[in-house]
Amino acid sequence: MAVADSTPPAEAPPQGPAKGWARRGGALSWGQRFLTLREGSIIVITVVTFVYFAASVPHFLTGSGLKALLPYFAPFAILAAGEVFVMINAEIDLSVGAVYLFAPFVFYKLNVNAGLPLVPAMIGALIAAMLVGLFNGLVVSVVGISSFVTTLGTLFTLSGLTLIISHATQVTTPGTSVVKVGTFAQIFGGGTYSELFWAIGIAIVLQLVLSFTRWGIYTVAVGGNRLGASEAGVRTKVVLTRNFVLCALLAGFVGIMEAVRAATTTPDPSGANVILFQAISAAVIGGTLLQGGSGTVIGAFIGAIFLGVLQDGLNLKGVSANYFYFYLGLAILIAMAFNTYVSRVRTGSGRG
Amino acid sequence: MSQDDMLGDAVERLEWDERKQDETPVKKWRQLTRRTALTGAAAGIAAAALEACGSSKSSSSVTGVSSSTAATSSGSSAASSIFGVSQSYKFTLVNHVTTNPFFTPTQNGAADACKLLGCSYQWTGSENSVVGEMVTAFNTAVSAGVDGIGVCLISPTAFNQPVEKALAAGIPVLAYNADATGNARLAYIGQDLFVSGQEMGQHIASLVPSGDVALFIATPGTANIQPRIDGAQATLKSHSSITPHVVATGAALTQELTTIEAYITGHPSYKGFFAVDGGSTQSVGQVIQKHNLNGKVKGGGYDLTPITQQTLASGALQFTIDQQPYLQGFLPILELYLYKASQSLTGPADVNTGLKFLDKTTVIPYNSTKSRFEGTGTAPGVQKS
Amino acid sequence: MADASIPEERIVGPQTADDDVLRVEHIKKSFGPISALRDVNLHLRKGEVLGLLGDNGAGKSTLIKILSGFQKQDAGTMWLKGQPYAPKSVLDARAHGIDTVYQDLALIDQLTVYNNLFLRRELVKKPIPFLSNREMRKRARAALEETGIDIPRLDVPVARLSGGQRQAIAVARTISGDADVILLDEPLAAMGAKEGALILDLIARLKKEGRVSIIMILHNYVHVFQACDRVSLIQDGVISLDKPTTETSVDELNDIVVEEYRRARLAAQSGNGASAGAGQAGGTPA
Repeated sequence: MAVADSTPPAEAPPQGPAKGWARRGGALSWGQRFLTLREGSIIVITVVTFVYFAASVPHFLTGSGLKALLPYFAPFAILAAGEVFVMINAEIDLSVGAVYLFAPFVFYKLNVNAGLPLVPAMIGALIAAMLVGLFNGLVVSVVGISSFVTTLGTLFTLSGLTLIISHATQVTTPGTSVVKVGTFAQIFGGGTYSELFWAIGIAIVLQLVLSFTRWGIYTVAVGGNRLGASEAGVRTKVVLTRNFVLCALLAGFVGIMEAVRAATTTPDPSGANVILFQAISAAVIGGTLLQGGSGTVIGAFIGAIFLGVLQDGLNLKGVSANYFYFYLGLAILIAMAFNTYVSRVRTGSGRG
Repeated sequence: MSQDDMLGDAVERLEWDERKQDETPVKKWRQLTRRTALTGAAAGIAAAALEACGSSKSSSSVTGVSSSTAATSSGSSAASSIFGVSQSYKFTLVNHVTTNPFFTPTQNGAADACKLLGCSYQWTGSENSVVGEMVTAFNTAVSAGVDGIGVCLISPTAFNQPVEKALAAGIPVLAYNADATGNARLAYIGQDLFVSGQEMGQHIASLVPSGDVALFIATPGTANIQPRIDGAQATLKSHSSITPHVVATGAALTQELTTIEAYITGHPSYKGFFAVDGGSTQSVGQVIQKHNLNGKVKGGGYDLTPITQQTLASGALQFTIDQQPYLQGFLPILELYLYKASQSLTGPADVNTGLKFLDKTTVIPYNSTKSRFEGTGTAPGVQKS
Repeated sequence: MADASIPEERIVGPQTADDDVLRVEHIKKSFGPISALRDVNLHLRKGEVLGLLGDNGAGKSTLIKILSGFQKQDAGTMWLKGQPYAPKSVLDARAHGIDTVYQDLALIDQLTVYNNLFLRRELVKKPIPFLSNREMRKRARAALEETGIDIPRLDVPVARLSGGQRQAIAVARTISGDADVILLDEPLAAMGAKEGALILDLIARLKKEGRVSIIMILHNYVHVFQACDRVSLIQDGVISLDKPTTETSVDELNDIVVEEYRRARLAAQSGNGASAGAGQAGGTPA
């Protein structure tokens, strides 16, 4: 596919009075053209951050260092991919952290209490996650409650439900053991590269869906102009609901993989909100707007890498615990400011 | 004391019941480990009474997160006739990290005590050590006129006035897990977090005579773990050959694992890795095990999750600290009940729930069992895991 | 009990012609207490351009939405090409050959020109249903050339285009969908004179080709007489005039509108709610 029509909304070099660059006349240089890609600015920021830490922290760039980097971003890349679809719809799913906690417990119950083998139990847990997404989608699209409120309600309900069905007790994830990593665990989160492969595979598939299928077009349509889309015949309720189902499915899948990696399924909801914020941050930093109508899965993937590199780097650098969040927040703000500036120049207008 | 007599009655009833059962190793084991888990004669006997009065057939666990169900009929009738109590008391336990797995055994202890005695309790407070939320929960319990309150005094001053108001209203108040000097609470049940940290510091110094060590803490500033790390650092200060590095690992277990794995693999020259919360401790064990560093570096921490137990047994960790959280739920309920039942004639008493350092050998019984006492199981008694 | 001095309300009854392509009778539609359409009778002949005039709130847009399948009427029947017509959805209406250009154009700003043109009718490959972007661009180019309005690049988001270009895309969308009946809701609303003229040219060309029959909502009488064969005036949820443009004039239309306004005011003053009509009693002047 030619670059010009790769992703809807496709980006052309700025028409009209773009500041500075186009005025220099003729074609833009490769560097500038790179930055006109929506993902361009986040790639630059990530590379800069990576190089900084590689240079200033001794064990960052080693084999084991890079392997240790993977779980910092791969799970969030997958979570963010699901959020991207929902956010393009001008909605948001706040319940992903709760589904992340809930799905592994369903997996545990199906395997240990109901006796299902590992893979069917996992499929059952994923179906449970999809049902949560279905609930979210139907309430938002049919009943008409805002997604912020709906998924907030789901977040609390599901967190409480997880504590209830688990009796607030941590358990060992089925199919895992600290001593030896079995085949099931190798494939689904326990193997060193397993989460990375899943993240890459899911990101590629979902970006293709977003850019090159009707699912993606209708998602942008419903997010960009919901009334207009429904006048044009797009079934907005279906589009909304299936994006919520997708988001919850991915959250459940990541939850199970992480529970396999840690060999522990824990019901403590206080960590779930951090997971939620990381997922949304990765999506937003990667270039998906909160107001809807536009988004990129590849961008979210890179946004997740950025956040992972940042946290890994700060951790290895030995930044004092008290300063950690301060630096993290500062870095996110700077990254977003840069993103916004670049996108304004790119569109050549006052809109960000 | 009359208290002993009443409990003695309960013991006799228990032994009479148990005489009917076959003498199996399982039964002996059950009695032994149950009494081992509960230090103190009174507590041990009360636990035996629990076996007798509660249903000894296995019942499915019914404890929810926030309150226990009403006692089974046999339990409550026994307690009410023993202690002469006609009503069902309501107690409130105010906690600072209500969803933290460390306190799951505490909730189990409180639930079991309620089943034994025929009363009910509410588990409330704050999820994230927000003192304001805890004070609100405390005051709500006072205005609701509960029969007794247990609270973790994580602030030196914030609870002083609320406690005084409660006592003035005739509601007994005990502190558990965390104490504050100058507070008017009737007794303290627990083991000082700072002291436990100091002892851990001693252990670290003995394991790692010199070099760099990492101290992992999930969320700095959280009131149930920060004092531990403060204590450890205080002790290590006097050992100039050891350089401690404090690292925050995150609130979610998976995050902790990620951070600790990156840190350990990124600092190959460090001699030891220690943690002050359960999630970080198990992650340290898991990472040392995974990267085959058993014996090459030292590790240790707090609490007894299954993975911590396994990695302790395999030699990845050298020690873990059990602060007996079951007792921190069981004893407050018991003491509040007796205070009410005796109409304040029998006052509550301070209990040092003790600090147990478990190593490779002493952890073995824990490894082969699951129980409500450790928070690793939900059925009554102790099961083989 | 109407006061003798209040004139009767004009309501055009059902009419038919042999070559009717679309006919509706006794259409009623309310939104809660507000009665948008009370008794609408309308017909459209094959190859005809019908202009629908009326004030804000008279019911024009509601009528269009019912004809296009976006909403369902409370009462009344419709016939399309001689057969009963009761669309279940916009897509269903499109399948029957009725397509609509809404006032807001129903374009998605963030999507490209050809995406918008093919919205809900995309061409996809087999076996995996990826979009056939190249094919769609080609056909979009052809469809847009027919409109006579110049759009140089088809792969830009439509947000960048002018009002006339956007209108052209919306109209081209209906034409390229092989519609028999096209409904246009205020097609010239947001346009300058030059682009407005181009759109009217387009409509004249379509009429000459004889492929489609058109209903246009307009509010400018000059446009009506320029472009339409017949004009219907809708007021207060009923049709009060239905005549070929050659048999009426701007003055006559004005007179009727003013007369209706006066009648409604008198009826409201005399306290008779029924003949005051719904939604316009004491409202803004016509």
